Amino acid sequence: MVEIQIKSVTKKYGNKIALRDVNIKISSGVFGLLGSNGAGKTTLMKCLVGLLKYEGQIEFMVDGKNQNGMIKVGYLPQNFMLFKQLTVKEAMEYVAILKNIESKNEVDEIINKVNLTQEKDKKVKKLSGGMLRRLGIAQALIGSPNILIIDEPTVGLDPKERVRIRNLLSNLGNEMIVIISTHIVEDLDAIANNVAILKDGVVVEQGDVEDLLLKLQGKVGSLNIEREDLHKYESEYTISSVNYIDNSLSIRIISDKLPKNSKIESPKLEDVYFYFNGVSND
Amino acid sequence: MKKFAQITFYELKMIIRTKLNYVLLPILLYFLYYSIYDGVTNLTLSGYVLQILIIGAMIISYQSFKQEYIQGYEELLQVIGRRYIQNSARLFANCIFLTLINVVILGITIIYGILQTQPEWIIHESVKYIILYFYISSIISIVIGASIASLIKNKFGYALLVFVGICIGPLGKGVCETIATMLNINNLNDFINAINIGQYDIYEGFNFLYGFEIESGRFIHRGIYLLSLLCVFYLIKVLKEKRQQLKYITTIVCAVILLLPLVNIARYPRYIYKPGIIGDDAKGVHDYLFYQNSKLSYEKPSFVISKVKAIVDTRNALAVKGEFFIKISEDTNKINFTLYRDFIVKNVSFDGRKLSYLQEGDNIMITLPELKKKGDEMCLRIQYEGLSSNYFFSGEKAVLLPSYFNWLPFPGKTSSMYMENSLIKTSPLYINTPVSYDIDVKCHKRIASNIGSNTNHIIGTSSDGVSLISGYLYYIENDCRYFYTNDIPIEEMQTYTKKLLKYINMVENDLGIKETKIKQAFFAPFKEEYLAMLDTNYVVNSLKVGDTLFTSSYPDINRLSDEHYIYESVACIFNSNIDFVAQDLETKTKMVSAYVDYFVRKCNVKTEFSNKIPEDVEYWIERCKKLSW
Repeated sequence: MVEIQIKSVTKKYGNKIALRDVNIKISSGVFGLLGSNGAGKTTLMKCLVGLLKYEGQIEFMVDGKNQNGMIKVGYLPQNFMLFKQLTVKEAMEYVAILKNIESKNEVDEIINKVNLTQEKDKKVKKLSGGMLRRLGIAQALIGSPNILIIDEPTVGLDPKERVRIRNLLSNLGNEMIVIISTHIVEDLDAIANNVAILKDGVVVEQGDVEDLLLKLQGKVGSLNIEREDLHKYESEYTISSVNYIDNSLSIRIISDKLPKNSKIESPKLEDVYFYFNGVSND
Repeated sequence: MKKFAQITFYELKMIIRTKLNYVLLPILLYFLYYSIYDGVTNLTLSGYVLQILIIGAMIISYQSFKQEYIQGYEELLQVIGRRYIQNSARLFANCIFLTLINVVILGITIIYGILQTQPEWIIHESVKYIILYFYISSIISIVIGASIASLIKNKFGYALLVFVGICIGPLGKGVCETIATMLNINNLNDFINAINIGQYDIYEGFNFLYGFEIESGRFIHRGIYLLSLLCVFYLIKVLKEKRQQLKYITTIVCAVILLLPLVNIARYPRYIYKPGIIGDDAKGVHDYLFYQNSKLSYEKPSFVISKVKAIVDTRNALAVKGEFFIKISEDTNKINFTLYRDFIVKNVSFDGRKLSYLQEGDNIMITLPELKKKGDEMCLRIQYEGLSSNYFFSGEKAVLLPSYFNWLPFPGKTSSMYMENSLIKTSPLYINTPVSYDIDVKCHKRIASNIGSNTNHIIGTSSDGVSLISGYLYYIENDCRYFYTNDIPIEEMQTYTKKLLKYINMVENDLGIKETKIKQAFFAPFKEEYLAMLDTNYVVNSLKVGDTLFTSSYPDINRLSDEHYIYESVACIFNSNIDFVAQDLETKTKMVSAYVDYFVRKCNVKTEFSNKIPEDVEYWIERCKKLSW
């Protein structure tokens, strides 16, 4: 069983601390790395794939033994682009050569897996945003990696394409560890088994999604209020959503102490994110 | 290796898909700069095409190496790894692409050469020239472009590319040399030569005797240059992508070791031939600075040379080991020779003993261990070596050491050259007594000489010095021995020689000199300007030394009038007379003008030139006749 242990990882850019004493344990399934822009998600991803030097330790364990260097990692960076002048198939074959993969069938299989068969003879520069992300995932899958590290997989995609990517990643989560870094909580809602929430380079919460949701039981409620009262509630509570209903408002409140007349709601991952990240106060 | 080939294939595919139009660039440039309208030599020499090729190659590789950064997959490739193979393969793919472009250039040159019915050797040399200056320069430019792409990712990179391209290219050389001269930094010129990958001279880098400037040393220079730049490139890559420390440290150490040849580069280009206009300017400056204040004077020696036995190595500059048999004519313990100043004397010995000597400019003063009496005979061993004067040369490809140049020690104290109206001229240092020569010439090609038959072991007697000439020189013998370079039709050469000899003999008769025949005529690219500045408007092409005629350029007999021949004849005779040459310029001008006018009238020849004929013509003609003939 593959496991990643991130121990006391600190990363500084000059005087600025991007990651401070990060400790995360990642085992199987889809792992979500949540955080607002600038929280340190991409920095942590780069540390994981070895692009950045850092203080601390990152260990890739197999059955409890350190196997750094032996574990195959697939990586999809945030702003992905690949050999524009080549076709999808050529680009994939090129990456396969770089990854020392001899089998040509593997490329075709992966292209098929990410649903790019029809576009395999299209030049990379002519792909749409969604297709490009799928190509990104495809190139990361070459070489049958044990771990897939994906930075912001759905940024700029239309809803249909987002769902497609999510489903793809969810399926991949059954075969390998998939680490997804995102600030779009929706991406992880249905597929992540574990998440870590980063804020200003510090892990503010991590754990099993179910456990985190349990932690928020009784702390999420909805309430109908007058429009003019919104400002008052905003200053006192974390509000995750506001819906307009005729002349009044329906708000979703996340707080340790909900208002008396609020209706208790089932917590969602987004509430967990807001609760620990304190977004409404930002 | 298979991986390398596969990666190269994809990299090349990407380059071809974006840069295929570059293949047509050389053809367009040849037309754009009119190189195509001249001979194949001009086509080959085109500095504009090369300059753009250098900058173009830099841009191609710059963009090729920068695209992963621009398109944003640099980090991805770093994570995937195998960057060494990838970078090398990308570099190699760029080289293949530039090879393709150079194949087009070579193709144009060969086809054009064949269409123009150029001699085979010119086409052959053109190909080598293009490989040296176009192809290797392209490859060097690729490495520079790749290195800059690895260092600078912003738009300043393009400005730097163009700047570097101009500095190392043929067109920037003149600018750099001018700046170096203005700042009076001679070492900067050496540096400019060392870093330059363009032609030394884009206008006259070809000579019908020498061929192109493609000595093996230049190939070695470019080879070291390329190797050093490759080291720089990999060093940058290693420093930029700090991974797998041990592997990289090894690479750095290797790179530093390989960089050592860079130190050697700065020394190299001094030993190469520089024939062209820029070269001539430099030659002018080189000798001008030395001879500008020197007056031609002659201190007679107290000895005569009777025999010279020497080994002359012309394969890389000039190296002479000679035995000079001399006969003392006055009691003395000093022996004075004149030898062109850039030939550095290494050793002088007599009877197995080393002698002390002083070499100052063109003069060598040797002190004998004891006083020698009149009639004594002795053999001095003198060893010297160095570059010849810039006007003359000896080297790997050709030798141009005519007898009128002081490459062998001349008895007495004078100077090898002198200045006249800002022009450097060689002093007429002809011994005028018979000297027996036994010279073994080490040369890559057959040597042509005024002595002996056509072998590289020259044995014979001459009163007019020794000429050693080789290169692309052809030979034919009928009324005399003709040595000629390929651009001169034989019939015209013979007609010219015969007609010139007719007038030379007339002048000789008139001056009371014994008539001489021309036993050998060299038609090769000799320096002109012997009487050019004597207030006449005629540039003299020929010089006659004893029984040898040297003609500098193509004698277009259809355009030469009888008056031309008279000028040539007078020049041939007068310029080989040291008594005449030693006169001041005004005197010489009047003598020549008066004598030519006198002869034109005497032969009833139609006058074409409007020379200033001195008022007292008769007086100056008499002065001419009174010279020591």
